[in-house]
Amino acid sequence: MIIGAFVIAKSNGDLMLQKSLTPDLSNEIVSLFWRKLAESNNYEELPLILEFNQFQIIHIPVNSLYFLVAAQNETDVVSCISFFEMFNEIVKSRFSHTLTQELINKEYITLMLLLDEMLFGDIMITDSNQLLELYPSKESSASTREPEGFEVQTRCPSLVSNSSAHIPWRRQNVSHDKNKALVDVVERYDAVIDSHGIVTFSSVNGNIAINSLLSGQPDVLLRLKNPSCISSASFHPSVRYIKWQSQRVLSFVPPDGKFSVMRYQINGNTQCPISIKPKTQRIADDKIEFSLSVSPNGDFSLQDVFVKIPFNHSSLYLTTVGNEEPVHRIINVDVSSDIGSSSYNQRTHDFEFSIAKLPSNGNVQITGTITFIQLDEKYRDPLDELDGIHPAVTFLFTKEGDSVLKVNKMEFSDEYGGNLFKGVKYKTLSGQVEMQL
Amino acid sequence: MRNVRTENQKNEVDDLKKLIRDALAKNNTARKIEVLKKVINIMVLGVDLSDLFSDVLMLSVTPNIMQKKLAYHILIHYASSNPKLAVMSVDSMQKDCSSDFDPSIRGLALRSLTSLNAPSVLDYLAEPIQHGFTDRSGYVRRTAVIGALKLFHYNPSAFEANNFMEDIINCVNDRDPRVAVTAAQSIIEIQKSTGGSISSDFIIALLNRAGEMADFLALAVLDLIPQYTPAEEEIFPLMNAIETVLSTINPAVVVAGVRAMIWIVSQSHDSELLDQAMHRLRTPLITLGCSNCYTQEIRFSMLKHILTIVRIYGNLFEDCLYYFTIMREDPNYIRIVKLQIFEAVVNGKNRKFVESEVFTAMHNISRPNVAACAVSILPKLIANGSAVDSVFRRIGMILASKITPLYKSIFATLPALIQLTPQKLDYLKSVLLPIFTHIPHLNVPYLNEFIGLLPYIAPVLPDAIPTYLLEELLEHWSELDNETQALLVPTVYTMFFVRAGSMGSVVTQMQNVLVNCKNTMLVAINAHHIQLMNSDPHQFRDMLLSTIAPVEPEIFLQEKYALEQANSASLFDEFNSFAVVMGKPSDFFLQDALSMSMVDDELLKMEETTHTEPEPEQYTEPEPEQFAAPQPKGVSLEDLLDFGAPATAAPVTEPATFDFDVTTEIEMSAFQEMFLGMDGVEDSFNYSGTTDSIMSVLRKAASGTNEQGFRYFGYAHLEGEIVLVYMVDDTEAKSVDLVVKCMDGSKNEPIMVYLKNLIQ
Repeated sequence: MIIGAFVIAKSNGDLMLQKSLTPDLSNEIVSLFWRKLAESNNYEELPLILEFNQFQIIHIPVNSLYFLVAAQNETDVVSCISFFEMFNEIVKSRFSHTLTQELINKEYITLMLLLDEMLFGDIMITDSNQLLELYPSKESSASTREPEGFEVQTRCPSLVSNSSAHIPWRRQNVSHDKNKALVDVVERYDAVIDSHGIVTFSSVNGNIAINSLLSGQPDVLLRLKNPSCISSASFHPSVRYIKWQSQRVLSFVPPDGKFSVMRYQINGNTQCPISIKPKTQRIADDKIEFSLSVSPNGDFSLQDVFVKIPFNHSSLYLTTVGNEEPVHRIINVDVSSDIGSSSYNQRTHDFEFSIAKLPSNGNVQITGTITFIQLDEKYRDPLDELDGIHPAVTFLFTKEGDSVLKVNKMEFSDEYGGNLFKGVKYKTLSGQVEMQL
Repeated sequence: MRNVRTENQKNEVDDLKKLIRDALAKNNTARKIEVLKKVINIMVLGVDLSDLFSDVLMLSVTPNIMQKKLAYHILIHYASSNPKLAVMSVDSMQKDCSSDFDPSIRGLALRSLTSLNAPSVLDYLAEPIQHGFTDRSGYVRRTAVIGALKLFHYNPSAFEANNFMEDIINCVNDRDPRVAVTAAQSIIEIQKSTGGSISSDFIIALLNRAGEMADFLALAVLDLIPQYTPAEEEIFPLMNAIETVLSTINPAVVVAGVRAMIWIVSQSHDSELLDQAMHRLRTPLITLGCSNCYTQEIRFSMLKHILTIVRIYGNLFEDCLYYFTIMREDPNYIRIVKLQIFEAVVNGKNRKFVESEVFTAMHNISRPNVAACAVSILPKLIANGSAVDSVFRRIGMILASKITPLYKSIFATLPALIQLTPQKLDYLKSVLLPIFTHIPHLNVPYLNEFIGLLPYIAPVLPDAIPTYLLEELLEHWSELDNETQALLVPTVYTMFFVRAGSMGSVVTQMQNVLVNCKNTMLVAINAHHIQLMNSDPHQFRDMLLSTIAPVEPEIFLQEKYALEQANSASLFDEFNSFAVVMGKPSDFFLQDALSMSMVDDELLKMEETTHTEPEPEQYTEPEPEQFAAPQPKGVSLEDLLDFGAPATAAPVTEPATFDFDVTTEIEMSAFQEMFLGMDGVEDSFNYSGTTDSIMSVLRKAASGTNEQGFRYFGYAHLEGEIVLVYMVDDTEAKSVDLVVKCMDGSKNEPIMVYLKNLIQ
């Protein structure tokens, strides 16, 4: 792929960091992008690839910054986007901070040199070991730092020659005072429930993150308790895929430090942590009564439960073109809950309910009435109107260990001896259940 | 960046000079670095600091890597545009290239030296590059490979003289995979210019090492595969090797793997292999497109790729559509592409699920673009057996509620729905009547769809309404845009046959309007319609009414999606590219194809001197008088309605020459839309002239080049008709592939013969 220009610009259009094949290309790209942005009312409506006479521009918003990449020829889009992400990751590793305006202002020159090193025409260097050795972080070069705050090395002691050619993700001669490995299993639950409270779609997206602080060149075996529940998985390049295919174990020589060894998806066959039972009933020609009963399922303990019913997603208020008057389909909503705090925003037409902790043995009742404007009988079925209303429930898991995927144990090559495996932290961070009334 | 200098800036240079000398005198490394940073900060603002060159050069002599990097950065900035300065910095960089001290310094120096894009230093590059190839550090060896590639671009003869190609080829087997891959990429890059193809050993050796490579290295190897044609026996080993990378976390590597896999199996004679491979690719594609582990941009790109696949292999994802459930956090652009996937995949088995998703999206009018997309899927749902009453009740509800943001999509969709279920037209009558009693504001976005819908709903509208609407529109003729005017002409003729009793006055009014119309294309279209009406009114009526007649679901599905499927098939060949995400072949947006100017002065001048005027009237188009159009006021409707003996057909003689009007320009998107929508003829033949002579024949500017040869996109008017010409010119083989598409399909062949004669 050929990247003609890589630009990071502020949300006001100022160019912050750039590398381009020709000197004025970056400025031109920024002005073209801002022209398109100004023409569009909504950033979300802008196509991912903007087409211009001379090139195509991909744009990605990150922390109030826009990453722009221009390509003059047919290019692999996913690589361009991945390059953004890799650059961001390396910046994060180098500065322990995500890329922001402040960071660019402060570390402009290092970032510029880093970008210069990473991108040359169609050859991209994203090997974090190599780059971090060329541009070491302040922590790693603390011993040689001079008082002015900029890291100064009289000699780069290891450089790239120190990365093993056969294991490019791991530096050679890694040394730690105390060997240990920490494992985090982080999951997020998503589900869709139909009008009868039945789960029509559920998905768990998980990530096994490891912080490997092991000296030398360790060979690690991570055994899972229930690998068969995984629908699809992707792995760090260090993982021996053949072993995964044959034995469903993760065997690898880890990089030094934090990395994600596996990302996975579990679809179906998981218990929904929350039960939501909707009920709708027409009580008059122009009125529907509805209720939502929300309770935790099984042993799940949920906190920060937040229910949002976006009535604005229905045809509640409309803008019309020309001289036609707006016509409201839903004219009034009256909702309340028995416990927790609830509110109805007259401006946004969102009903919001929140409770710090969902009662483990009871449920929350949200009830309400929707009043509709009368339509011709032929087209009127207010229940259909609820098609557009998607109550969504978000929550946090309170208990560790609610994750679907469990780690059995972690084994290390013989020379390490002892128990370096310090256990697993299961973090099922959040869940979101969306309902189709 | 432009260098400017004012008096104040001169002072600034003096201050910086002072600071540098001060830092040098005190020999304080940190201070030197701070000064260099200051210099860069001012330099990037466009201030000319080239006077500091010699001072910065002194600062570059240091064992400190960061100080050296900063100093070199400044030196390269000014040396590239100033040959004298470039020569000054060469010595220092050459010394660093042979430093035993630190590989990072050798690498940096070599990278910097080869970045001095100045003719004066080219002679100094070969030796350090040569040394770099044998360096013990992989970093330096890789830098040497990149340096050699740069030299190839700057000075190919020096590259050849030093036999660097052999060094690069040797590096493919380097023990460090990073060097190997960079060498492979460089070879491909060089071969693009010099020709040649890669060997299977080369690819397989790299692919076998893909496991050693991280992220973008593996990606680079996979990107090489589509440039290699494997032998039949190599296909399975390659597929197995690629499959291991399909499970990596990096989405770019996975997509490159998918592309490589598709390429490999498409080279096989086993037709079932592609189907098998597509099933193997299903899981990684779904993971990338649907897992929220990946960013919205990645998911969107992947969903677009999946859309291209499902339009060809519709049943590939038919049983797993729930992965594509529209989630609350999905932005509009992801929602729309998911709906498009549903549209491509829906069948009797998964219809219920798709219905639920489509209806939900349709009612969510806070996202009108998504709702509009959902509405457009309704005909396919009905063609696949959806409950007709349910669909029409929802449309009726939206219309009754006057949800105007959806009118455009509903009016565009209703013709197909009415054709599929004409019995439901009566049902919509009461909601359509209030809308169709008056013409909408001329600036509403749904005006064209409003006009296009008229012939379909005319049977249920009271007699006076269609007449009144069309008369009103014709009264505002001058306020209508070209597209609306172009739509109105055939609509009036169609309505003339749908409501023959009441439309005579409207046709007369249109003829009067067209008398003063300056749009020659419209006048020609009208003339063409009248000619058809005069020559065979029954046939003309049947032709117009057939476009609005009821259709069977099977035929609807076959015809409606044929073009889309053909388009996806060509996009499939461009997997993992902008083209797929943009939904159109790269020919239509690449820089090479973007110059759409129809008149190239130079070419026209050339043609004036070389091209003799065609013999007049060897190919005779019927005179406008023979069409009786445009008619002045008082055209006889009885004559138009005379369904008696067909009028004598216009005399047509042997086609020989055409007088193209090439004074108009069009947008590329319009070209693409027209090109895909028109029938044409295609021919391949050899020629004896030159590219220039072909260009002069086509009387238009050519776009540029690509790997295979030249591609031309031509657009012209011929007596009011649009003519599109697409040509691929293989200059080496002296052959062209020519496609001609004329609005009047009957002229395709004569134009092809005419152009072919001229080109040959």
